[in-house]
Amino acid sequence: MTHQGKSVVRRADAENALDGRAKSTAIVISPSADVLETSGAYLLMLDMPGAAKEGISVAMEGESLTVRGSTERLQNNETEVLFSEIRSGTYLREFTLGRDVDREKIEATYEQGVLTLRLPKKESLKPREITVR
Amino acid sequence: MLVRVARAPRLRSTISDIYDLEQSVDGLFRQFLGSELLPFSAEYPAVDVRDSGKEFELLCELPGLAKDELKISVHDGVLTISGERAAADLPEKVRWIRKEIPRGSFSRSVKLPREVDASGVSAELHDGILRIVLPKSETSLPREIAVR
Repeated sequence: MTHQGKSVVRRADAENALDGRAKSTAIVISPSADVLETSGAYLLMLDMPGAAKEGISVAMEGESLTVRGSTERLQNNETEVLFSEIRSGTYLREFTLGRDVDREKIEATYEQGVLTLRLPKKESLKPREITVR
Repeated sequence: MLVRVARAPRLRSTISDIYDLEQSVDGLFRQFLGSELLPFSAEYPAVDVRDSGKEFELLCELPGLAKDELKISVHDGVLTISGERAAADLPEKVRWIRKEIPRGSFSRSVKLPREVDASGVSAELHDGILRIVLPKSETSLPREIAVR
């Protein structure tokens, strides 16, 4: 069983047009994400199993935040693949940031195959109560 | 909505919008046609099985799971991986914007080839990938017979 489905190949071509560094055979995987808001920050969690920590990049440009990662799985030629469901390739997903995100304070952690981004809100825009004197 | 995700419609179409659109179209087809006709399996978690000659290697995608949230058992020649991916540990007041990550309990069984030495099975979990090594039993390994 292979994962060289038509739609996957087309996705890879589009990725090539975007970024010449990608190999022609690279498969682009859009990682599943949870996004939520707390009073002080936004939290973004992305399922990126098998992505080496060193291979993950979080880039900001204008309003957009782009997450990339590569799954450098043990591609051993000595082994024979009997059954294959796990997609191997490049993780790529883009998000648009709101103006209230403090870009200087974004934190990223990668644990158990999950990338967590904490996007704190700007102090000046946080809701606050004003005491009546 | 203050954090806008790329899937939301926008005037300037980006590459990621196209990927996302394709994924949702794929999802629709999968609903109508069933998973057999499409390249991706709907089984959870996704599994790879390889044969390296001396042993079988099973890889399983399990992001967000800790070692102790996972159970692996071998019974009557069937390997079962089960566990529960708990809800994220969050502060009390949160507003969900997007919830795509599957959570809850799962179980998946794989029938082992007869020649596996069940007592020698080992497993490790690293970066959300579970790797189980199943050594082949001595009797099933190829060997040369000397002519006397």
